[in-house]
Order: sequence, then C-alpha cells, then structure tokens
Amino acid sequence: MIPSYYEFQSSVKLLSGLNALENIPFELNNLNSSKPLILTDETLMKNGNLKIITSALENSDYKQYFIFKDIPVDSSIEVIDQISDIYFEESCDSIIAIGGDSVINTAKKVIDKKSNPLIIVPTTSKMYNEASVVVVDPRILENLTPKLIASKAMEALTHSIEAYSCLQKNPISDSFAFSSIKMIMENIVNIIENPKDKNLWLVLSNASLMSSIAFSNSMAGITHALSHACSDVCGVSHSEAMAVLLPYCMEYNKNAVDDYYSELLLPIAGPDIYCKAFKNRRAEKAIYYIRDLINELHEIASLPKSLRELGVDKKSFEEIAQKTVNNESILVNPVKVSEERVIEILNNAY
Amino acid sequence: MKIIFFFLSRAIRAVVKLDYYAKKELDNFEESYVIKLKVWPEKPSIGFRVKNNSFKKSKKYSDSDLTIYFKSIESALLLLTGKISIEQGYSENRFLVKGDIVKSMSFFRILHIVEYYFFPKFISNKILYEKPSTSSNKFRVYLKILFGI
Repeated sequence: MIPSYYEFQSSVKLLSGLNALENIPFELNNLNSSKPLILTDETLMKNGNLKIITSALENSDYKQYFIFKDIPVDSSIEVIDQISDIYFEESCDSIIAIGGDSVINTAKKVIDKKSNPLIIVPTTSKMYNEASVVVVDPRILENLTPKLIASKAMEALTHSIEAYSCLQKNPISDSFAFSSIKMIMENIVNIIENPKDKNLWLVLSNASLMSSIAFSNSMAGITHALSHACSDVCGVSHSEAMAVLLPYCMEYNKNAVDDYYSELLLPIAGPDIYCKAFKNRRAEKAIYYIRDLINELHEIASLPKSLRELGVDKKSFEEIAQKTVNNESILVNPVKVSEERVIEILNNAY
Repeated sequence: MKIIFFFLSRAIRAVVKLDYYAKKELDNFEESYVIKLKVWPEKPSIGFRVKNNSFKKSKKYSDSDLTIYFKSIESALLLLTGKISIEQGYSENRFLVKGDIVKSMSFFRILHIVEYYFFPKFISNKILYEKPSTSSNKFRVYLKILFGI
C-alpha cells in the first residue's frame, strides 16, 4: 500500500570503506569549497587520525583550512557562537566535523543558518542524515565497549522498527528501515564477539545511516518518546532505555500493526523461521526474537533488560508518563498513548 | 476557508469554556499566551489569546507564541473538514508547528475534544483513535457555537 500523500528527503552522500578519508578533498571541490573549517576534539588530535585528513587536504592543494579542536564532551551555545565567529573571521566556506555526538551536533548548529556544505566523519557507529557528505572509514572508528555497540545497534534497530510500523511510513523509508533491520540482526552479535574487526563495524555504521534516513522521514513512535522521557527524567542512556522498552512497546502497538510486524519477522529472524511461522503468529514471533536478541546482548554485552537494571526510579513513572504524552512522536504512533497506559508499560518493563 | 475558520474559532472557544478536560489542557498555557492557526504564508488565519482561564480572539496583527502553519488551503481544508485526522495531517507534513512542541501537544488534545463535539459521529469515529475524555454534551456545545448561549 502506498500512502495517499507523503514526503521524503535525503540528500546525503555516503563514502563508506577503506581510504574514504582520502576522498574528502575531491568532495570539497565538488561542493565548491575552498577553505574548510575542521571541527574535532583532543582525542582525534592525539591519536593521529586527523593527520590522515590534513595530509589528504594538503596533497590536493587545500593548503588553507582552519582546525578547531576544543569542543568539549558537552558542547554549549558559547562554543557554537565562538566557532561561528571563527568561521566568519577565517572566511571558511564549509565544515568537516570529525568525532562523536558533541562535535557533530556542534557542527550542525554552526552550519544551521548557512547554506554551506557539511562533511561529517563519525567516529562512532551513530550516523547522521543531515550532512552533504558522510564519510565512514574503518581507520577512524573508535573502540567502543560491547555495551555501547549493543546499545547503539538497538537504537538504530528501534528507530527502524518504528519507522516501518508508525503512521508516517512510506515505501522509500520502508526500504531503508527493512534493510537496516536485516543488517543489524545478522551482524550485531558477531560485531560484539569480534570487536577488532573494524570492517564489521562498517556494517553497523551503514545500517545506522539507513536507519537514520528512515527515521528522519518516518518518525519513530512510543518507544522513542518513552525512552527520551526516561532519559530526561532519570538521566539514563536513551539507547539503553530503547533496548529495554522496545519489546513492551511493540506489544502495546501489536494489534494495530500486526501486518507490519509480521513482515518484519523476515529481517528479524531470517527466511527459515519466517517461512515456518504461521501467518497469524508472525508478529508475535517478531517480538519474541527481539526479546531473544535483548537476552543475548544482556549475556554478552551486559545490556540492561529491565528499567530497574537501567536505573529508572519507580517514583519517576508519573513524570516520565507526562513527558511521553507531550512528545510529538506519539502523534505518529499507531495506538493512542495516554499517561495511564504509559505507566502500565513502565510497570511491565520494570 | 474563512467560514470554516470562523466556526472553528467559535468551536474552540466554546469547548474550552464548557468542557472540563479541555479546560484542564488550557492550564498548560500561561496568561496572555497566543496561539495562531495560519494558512502559509499569512492568511487566512485565526488566533487565540489565553485570558482568565479561557480562549479569547487574539488581535489580528499581534505576535504569537505558538503558530500552526498549514502548507496550503487544500491541506487546511483536509484537516479542518474532518477528511483526515490531526495524526494523519502531521504524518503527511500538512502543517508545521512553530513554537513550544510540548504546548502544541496540549493544543492538539484540545482539538481532539473539539473534533469530537463538532463533527457528526461518522466523521469523528473516522478521525479519532478513540473517544477523548469529555464532560459536556454536543447539544450544549452547538448552542454555544451558534448562539453563544
């Protein structure tokens, strides 16, 4: 089925794989940029990875660039203003952001009101759909702990499952969501068990980008809203909260989106299980295999399985419920969300 | 479109006066808070100012704290005539919200209550997931909309 009307946007160009960093100057030239501002943090400066990019720039006649390396873990408006001033003073015409969340979110804010290009080089598996170019090179990916790998993968998985099953779904975002679920489910355990194989991480980075494209065009629903509220109220990790809440929220939505969950059994559990499952049991099975994955990630990566383990206080349930119903994501959730029902989900997941 | 906005404006003000649950949502807005519904770029439009625990018509050229922009007259018509739900309208990007998202969620809950009272059952059943909590009755709301009683 095709929606009566939908919108879809994705203009990101991805460079993924070996020696991707060396192709940045070519992309800058394509984007008509002559002087990039490089944003990064101290870690990248120390481990020498930045040198790969600056050498590539210099070898390609990009002698003029400016490096700002003082972005703290929690960036602020002051830092953004400071960088904006430098951007104008140095007459830069593009940004290359290399790092994690803080560096990249700062870059997005600086570039926000300018029409200049933004090149993002993420060092974690988290991906960003809002750039002109995203560069993923195995050499620059950080060594994440198994728990962080697992939680980032679960975040991407949740976004994709919700993008595929909530009201804003459309055929194009479906294709991204479906493929990213398949890639995550097939590789996540392998990645955690072989953390040194950076090429495996590329799979996760690509899946994460696909999930991000799906999710930014088909908004996620109750799991996203509820995890944000848990994170805001109790300071717990948004990704880990998603991992805990996903199966409970899927149960909550199941009757309204049984067909979509049934379809998702294929990328979640593979063709053998999909074919063997009775048609009317597929949605249920999809949730079962998600629980199964969470149990496995609990064993091998210490990912929390309940809100109690995660550190959510029962006394905060009311505040979490209030924040959840005021999150715009619930507008696209296929089942109506009320404070009472949110508390019920929280109790089940505790 | 102007006629629809005229009745919608009366309906919203009537429901907030008569219904306990709509009034409860109104508590989330500070005194003098201004909400506007506009068809992009500027008109037609309607606006409400929170005053003494109710919505009053806001002045035409006053600034707003929260604005809901319909992308076109056709988009506004789809939503305001009950052809599609608020949720579907949001999913299809038929409108944009400028301002505090949390406050906009309260306003949407008021609109759900208005839709329940304002539209006949065959329409409200189609556009509302489920009946919102209400405390008044359709007859009273209609009297208020039509005659101000």
